[in-house]
Amino acid sequence: MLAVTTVACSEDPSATAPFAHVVDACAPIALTSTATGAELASITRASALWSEVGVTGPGAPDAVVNIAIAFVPATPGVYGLYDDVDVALEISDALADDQRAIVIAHELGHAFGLVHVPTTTRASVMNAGNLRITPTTDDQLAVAALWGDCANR
Amino acid sequence: MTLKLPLVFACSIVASSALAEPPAPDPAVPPLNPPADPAAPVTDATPVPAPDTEALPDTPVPVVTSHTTSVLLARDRPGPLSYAWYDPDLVSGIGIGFTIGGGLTGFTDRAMRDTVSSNVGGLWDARASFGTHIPLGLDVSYIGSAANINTINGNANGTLVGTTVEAALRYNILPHNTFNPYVFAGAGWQRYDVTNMRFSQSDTGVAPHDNIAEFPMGAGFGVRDLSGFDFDLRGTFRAATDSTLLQESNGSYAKLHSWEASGSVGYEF
Repeated sequence: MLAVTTVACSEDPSATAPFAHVVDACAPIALTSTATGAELASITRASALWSEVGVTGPGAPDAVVNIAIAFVPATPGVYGLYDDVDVALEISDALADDQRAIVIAHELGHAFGLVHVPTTTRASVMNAGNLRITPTTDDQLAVAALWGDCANR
Repeated sequence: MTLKLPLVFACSIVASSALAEPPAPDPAVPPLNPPADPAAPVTDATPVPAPDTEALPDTPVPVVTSHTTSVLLARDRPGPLSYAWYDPDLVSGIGIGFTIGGGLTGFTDRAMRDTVSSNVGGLWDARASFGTHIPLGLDVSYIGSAANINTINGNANGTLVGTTVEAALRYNILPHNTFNPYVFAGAGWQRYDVTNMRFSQSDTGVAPHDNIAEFPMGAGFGVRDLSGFDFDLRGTFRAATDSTLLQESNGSYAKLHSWEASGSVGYEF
């Protein structure tokens, strides 16, 4: 299990984001779960996917924000959900390992305040129904537009 | 109340004529052979003088001739096993009906059955039928349906609302019988909308809406009486074209084939 740390949420900094609460993508964020094995590894992988494009909050030490992640039964076409009231992620327990990490990264994007990007606009981890596209540099720019460039904070 | 044409058109023509009018009888001369019943026609009857009656030489012999003709012009109602293309009992002559009703519906695809909260959902329908009393008719229908979607862990549940408009040719097996079984097949358009679901904060293979073509086929029966009341029960299978409404994590799209069992009541004329 990952460490549970302080839970702190921010009000939505973007007028366009439809969420009750969002999380500063550059602040240290603890991702907590009771999961083990492959599911726990998927959480670590999702943090790494965002870090690879410069969004360094998830999994950073000395977390000031906590996001709980649960793996739960879901209907066949539903992969994950960002609970913007409780600031938690619910992820389908029926996904393959690589799909699971991408869905966690997608829901983290919602927690950062990102909305869906149409596939006709560009390939993005935030494409609706995405199961294969990892965070891109354009996704990092979208995060930076809300929270600034994590490298320069 | 249905306006009913007469079951039998009958016309009776009674023509009575005297080919030769008898002369006014002479009160002084008793009738030679008065008929016992004036209404009883006597055709081409020539009175025969009574044996004991002495005919006066110049007294004309009365001749009474009556000619009666009855003609029935009957346009019979088609029998219960008839395949006639006209029913004189109905104002429309073919049977035009309007019904409303409801019933049960469900998907045949496993992924869709797992997506909705129950394998069986509700539907409502309104239908106009043209040709319920002839061998081949046309049904034009609107069907609405709704089913709850359980998404994830009891959260973000939505509602799948279906709207269908379709037309189907209907073969009436006993078009002129009170109990009329029938089969039908046709084509139509279906739209599904997913409402109340938290799409904006989730990752799903569920599209907010989809439009597809569908091909209904099935069988049913109608029970109708002479007042125009119509009760209908039917079972339908709807084959649907490929849909992008629901993509599973394995990349495949769920099929939207569905079944229906419904009943309706209405009026026909």
